[in-house]
Amino acid sequence: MNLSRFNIFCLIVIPVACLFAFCVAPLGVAAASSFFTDQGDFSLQTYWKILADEEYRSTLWATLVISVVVTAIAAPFGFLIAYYNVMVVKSKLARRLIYMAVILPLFTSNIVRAFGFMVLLGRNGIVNNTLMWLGAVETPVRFLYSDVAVVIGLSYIFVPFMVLSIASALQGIDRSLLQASSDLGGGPWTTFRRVVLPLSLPGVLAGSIIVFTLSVSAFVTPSVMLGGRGKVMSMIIYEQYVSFMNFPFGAALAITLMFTAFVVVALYSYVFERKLAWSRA
Amino acid sequence: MTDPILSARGLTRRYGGVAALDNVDIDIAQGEFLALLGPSGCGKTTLLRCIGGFVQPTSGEVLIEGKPVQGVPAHKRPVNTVFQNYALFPHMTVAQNVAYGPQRAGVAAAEVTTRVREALKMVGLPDHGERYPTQLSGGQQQRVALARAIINRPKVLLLDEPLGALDLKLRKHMQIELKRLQEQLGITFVFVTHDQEEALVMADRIAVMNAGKIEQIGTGEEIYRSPASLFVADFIGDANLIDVTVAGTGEVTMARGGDFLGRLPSASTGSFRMLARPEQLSFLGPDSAPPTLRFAAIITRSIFVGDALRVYAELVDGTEVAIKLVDERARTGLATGQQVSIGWYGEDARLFPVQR
Repeated sequence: MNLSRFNIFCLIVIPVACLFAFCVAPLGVAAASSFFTDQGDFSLQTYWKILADEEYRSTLWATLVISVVVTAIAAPFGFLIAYYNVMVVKSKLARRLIYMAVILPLFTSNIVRAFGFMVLLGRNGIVNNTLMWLGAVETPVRFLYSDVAVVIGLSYIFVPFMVLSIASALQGIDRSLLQASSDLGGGPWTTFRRVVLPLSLPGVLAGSIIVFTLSVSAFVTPSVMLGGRGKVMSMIIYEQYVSFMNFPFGAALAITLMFTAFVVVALYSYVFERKLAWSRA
Repeated sequence: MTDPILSARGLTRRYGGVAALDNVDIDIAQGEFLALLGPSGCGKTTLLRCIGGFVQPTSGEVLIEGKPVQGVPAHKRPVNTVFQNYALFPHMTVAQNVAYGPQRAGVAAAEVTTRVREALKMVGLPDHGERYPTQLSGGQQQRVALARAIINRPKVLLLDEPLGALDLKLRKHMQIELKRLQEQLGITFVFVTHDQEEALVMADRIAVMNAGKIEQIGTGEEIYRSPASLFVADFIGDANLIDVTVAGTGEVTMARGGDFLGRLPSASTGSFRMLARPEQLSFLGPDSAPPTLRFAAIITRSIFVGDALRVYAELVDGTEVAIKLVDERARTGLATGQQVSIGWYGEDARLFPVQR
């Protein structure tokens, strides 16, 4: 192939420009603003403030815990649905309908779905009424306006991402490998544990990272589910930007959240790394 | 055959209305190398999968050492399979792949290690245990698949076109090596292939399959020399098939045109398609001995194929026949367009009755 200098220039410059405009620049602006006072002096005071204040540290911790728990809940549920759909369902039509059912909720707004959960989980909601009718509890359980409500809401919202990610990994498993396992004396459980599960791990890893990062930055669902009786990081950041107009501090909080989330994802990936050595062989 | 290790009785498998296997009976002896040979869609792979336990027969049964295995799942059958695409576990090293079977059978870890080393040595990959399958060439993957199967010392090893993906030279090499391994281990091999040469090179017996049925089963020589059907005659080796009519006196004439060819006193009468292998035909010179049958023909082309010259000639009815000339001296003085006489010597012609 013969490329003119101009073509080469375009081929390199356009992707780099897009990367810069959509990824590097916004982050860079936020990161930079966190290091300067309103007067334009360089300062680390915003970060000192975050480190010194118990409230910010506990909110950061709560956000991370919620996100980890959401990921831990979404993974098995997502795996179950994906496994059932890919490995068990035989009819193509049924498989498509299940995928549609999984994806359809993504078409509605998070707010609508969060309010749906309020109806379900409220004092006189279906869940409490059922529990009381069954005699499981005497008085209604307070689900709403707690971290538990946030976890329930986010898990529900993010399971589809896990399903799609794991399903694509399961879809990629050559069926003759399952037969080979069986041929070599592996029963159904052994085949699942030694062949299907390890081969689906790239999907679990990808799905977990997506769900975790989405959970860390989720705003609408926590806002509705907490109803003003608690905060996650995204709400504090929003507050700083919109209510207090304190851009440097809002930026510092956002960068702190991003950095810690990145560390968690990096650690998680590192642990997985050993199990996935084969995929890079 | 005394006590076949593997048998099929009336084995039938239907998909919808189509019979992939149609009432197949077969007995395979301990230590035998049997090739299932046929074109794609003939049912050879379905038969293999019925034996392996991956396909349930619609009716009939498979017996291993005389015991029916109907209802026994694949993982409990004393047979192993080398899959067409090898089906190596990509997330396991070569050694882990090979160890998979013995581990499932509960063999002690130390013994597994020893056996893995032996098996890899046997297939010529003693130093590749720590690699992943994707780091190996096709031929090496093939050997790993073989090692993974034979380490279990199965009663029968099923091979589903295992050499199909290899290049010609490697394939020929592996044919000899597989045969050597089979003789060394004494394991019964059932080998599926569509390559007749591969079957002839390796197998003790060949079962030629067509449309879900076994057309003929026998040694390569039996099948080549006395094919039981027109299909077998055409499928194995190169075949010239000439339409002839045999009259009451054994007088043989061309079916179209009625040219007199010669006499076959022992043949029954009627319309036939006659099999003449390219090496059974020769060009007649002025001092040739009188042949049993003599055909008039015109040379259309000749092709040099290394160890022989293949000459194609058109008979009076338009049928093109191939003549294989190995002898250097017989090759001279043959020109395209030349009128020649072709001779077939012998008594016992293979004649297949046809409707006309």
